[in-house]
Amino acid sequence: MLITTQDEFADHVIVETLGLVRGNTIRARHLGKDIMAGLRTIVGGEVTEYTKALAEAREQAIDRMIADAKSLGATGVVGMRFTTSAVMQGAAEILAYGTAVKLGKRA
Amino acid sequence: METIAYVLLTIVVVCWLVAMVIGMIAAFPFGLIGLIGLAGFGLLFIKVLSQRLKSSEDDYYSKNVDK
Repeated sequence: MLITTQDEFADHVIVETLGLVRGNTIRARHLGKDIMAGLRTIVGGEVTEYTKALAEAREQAIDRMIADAKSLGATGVVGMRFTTSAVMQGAAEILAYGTAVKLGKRA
Repeated sequence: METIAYVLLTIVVVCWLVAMVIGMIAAFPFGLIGLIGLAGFGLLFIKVLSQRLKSSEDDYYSKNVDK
């Protein structure tokens, strides 16, 4: 599955547009990691616990978007974007969305 | 170091819960309210914990995705 943030691929043409696809997830770390993250705000620096949590969320959201695209028979996703919103303390929703398309080789 | 901290905190939480339950039993019959509430929370926690332990999808992303 080819994914791009652009509206088209440089080496493929869009032969059919299938529609909106999306994947989302809300992830949280366990209480111990939350405590460590809180302590990091005292000493400063990267909050690695939440960095990893959001990285996991992005990957899972992309995987779910790909699964949604595959269910439509797509071979690519264009105009892919991320959006996020805070749901509760220590948990954020990551939504990955784009337009599922069928691709052909550019002549 | 992190694991030792988690073990120590878990010991503290368990001791605190045991003390709470003993206090609620001592306050019988009014302590029943707290005991039932605690049992309710306990069941929800067990459900959430068992779902997390069984979730291979969560394990996959936890183990394979770095920063």
